[in-house]
Amino acid sequence: MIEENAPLHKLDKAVIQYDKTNSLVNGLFYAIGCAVLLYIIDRFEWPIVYAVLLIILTVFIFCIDYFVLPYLRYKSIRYEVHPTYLEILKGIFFRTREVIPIERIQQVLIKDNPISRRYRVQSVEIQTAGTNHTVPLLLEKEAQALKKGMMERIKEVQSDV
Amino acid sequence: MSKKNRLHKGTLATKAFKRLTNLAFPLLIYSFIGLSDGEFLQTFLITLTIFILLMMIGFVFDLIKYIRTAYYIENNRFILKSGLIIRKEKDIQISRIQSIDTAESLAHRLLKLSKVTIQTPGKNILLDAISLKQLEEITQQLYDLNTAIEVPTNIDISDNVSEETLAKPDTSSTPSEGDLLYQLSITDLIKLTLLNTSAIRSFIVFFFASSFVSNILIDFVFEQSDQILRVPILVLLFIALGIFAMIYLFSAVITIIKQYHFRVFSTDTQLTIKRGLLETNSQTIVLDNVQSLEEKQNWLMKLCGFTFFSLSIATHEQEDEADSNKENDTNGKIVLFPLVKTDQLTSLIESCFPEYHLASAKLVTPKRSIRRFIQFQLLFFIVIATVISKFFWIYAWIPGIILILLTLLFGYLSYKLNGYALSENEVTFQVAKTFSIKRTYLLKERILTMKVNQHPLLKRAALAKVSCFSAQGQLSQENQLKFIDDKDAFELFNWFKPKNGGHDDYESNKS
Repeated sequence: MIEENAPLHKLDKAVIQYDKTNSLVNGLFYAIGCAVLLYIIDRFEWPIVYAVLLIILTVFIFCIDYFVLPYLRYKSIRYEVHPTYLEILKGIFFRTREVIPIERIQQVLIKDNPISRRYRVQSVEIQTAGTNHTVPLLLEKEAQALKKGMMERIKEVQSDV
Repeated sequence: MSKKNRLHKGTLATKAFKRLTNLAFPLLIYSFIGLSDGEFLQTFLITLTIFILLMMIGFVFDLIKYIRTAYYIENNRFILKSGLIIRKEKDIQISRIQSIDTAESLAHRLLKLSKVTIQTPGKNILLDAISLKQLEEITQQLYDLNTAIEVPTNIDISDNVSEETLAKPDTSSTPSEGDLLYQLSITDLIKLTLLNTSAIRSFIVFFFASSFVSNILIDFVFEQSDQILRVPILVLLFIALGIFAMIYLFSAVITIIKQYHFRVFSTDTQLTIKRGLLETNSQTIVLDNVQSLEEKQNWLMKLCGFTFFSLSIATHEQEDEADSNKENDTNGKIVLFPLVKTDQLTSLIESCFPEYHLASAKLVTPKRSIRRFIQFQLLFFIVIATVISKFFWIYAWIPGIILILLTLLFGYLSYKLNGYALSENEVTFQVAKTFSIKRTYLLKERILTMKVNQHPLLKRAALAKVSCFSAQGQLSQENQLKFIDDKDAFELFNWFKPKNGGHDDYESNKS
């Protein structure tokens, strides 16, 4: 039911590459964490089986993060700006569908980071009087179009909350 | 530009008084620790030195702040300059001022001062201590510039309004505090304490936390020592009852001090709440700023036909540090009717919030949801109680069983009581807690966002969670109905989704 009449806009396939690069960076942190734990196992002379399990677990998590999650994330996010509201559907396992009336929006921000700038990927953060919502993994032109579309509609609507 | 004014010198005394009350409790505890170690004199002297040092440092800071703080009116703006090291300037547009609220602590009252908050929809200015004469001058000046301001009611400004001002058409009368809508007598305050389960909960926590229970009572019961069982059980019962009575008495005294002479006045545009015995408060709530209404009823209140009613407002900036202990206004939640007869509530709400209908919720939680409310908590309590019983404390299974029973009760109540009601412009959320039931009433135009959550396991059972957010304080208040039928969840979701905002409507409007 949550997928019924889902929002129209899907992500561009190009963002998968950026997501994978992100996973590689995460993998680096997994490796550092794993190395620290391996040192502790060695230092306290815990059974070698712990070290083997740790390595297997780290590799497994990295593989999921690199090979599976980017595709699932790409498929899971959908959004649509209607004349009076914004609708977002996202979440791989925990699916969330939300409606944000345009008149409630107070601020629209575009966010990026050094890696995302290289791939021209941005995320759009929408703030209301007490909630924050994000549409992640948008190409630069999509993010700009989404922000522009919302700003135009916000101007049309008046509210003081 | 009006002349720059300083706060009253008494602000140094009121701040010192506040610091004294804040420091007294931790330092007392510290002294008692020393007392139990048998080094009373030494600990007392250390405590006294720390106390005097802190008070002196605080006084120096307060003095610098006092010297560097000034307020004045310039170009239709009320400006406050302050700051210890970095000078801050805060200004508010006079035409946007909604109200001037006052509060007086014991120190303020002794020195005939007032703590004043000038409120706008965006930000507030707090003047920590000004004399009543200064307050009179400020309100008069601001009132002359903006007739929409609610003047603080501790002083009868109308007596001092000049003939010239009276002659002006828009300022010819001072706005009154409105009609008395609701008040609490001393008897009501005692009833409020008796019906408030927080005293009972404090007792239960005290009972289980005290080593007296763990070390003596349980040993009495389970070791079945005949020698001490006969008399002391009665004595222990007396002690327990005594503690229970003491907690109630203490709660009653606190309630009376805080809520003494609790009154709510109403006008067409705002409500004013006044209360307090030692520290008096006068707080104005602009009706346009009310985001949601909330009714909370514990089982004791329900049995006696009473309920508790509060409202939420949006605030746009952090309360000033000096005002952060304003008990009634934490996170934008304000108690409106601490104790009100259920059958009188509708008429009271009708008179100040005519747009709300307070519809009763229809109960929607399906039977298949019960286990989902409790499964993780049950698992957690069983594991924790078992582990603690096995390794640390043999009687841990007793509180464990109590928590498990409470969780089961919570699951059953959630199934029996959770629900919602929809009308064209309003939604009611009804959610059961273990000891109470909470009903939140929201107007569609006040809702910030609505969302539905589902995961594959819930999807398979055709269940979903629905959350609705409204502004409260600087953040938002979440009202969530868990594990309801997904059809009901989407009924709520589609109700909130603007009807005339879809692409089809837009395209047809354009063409």
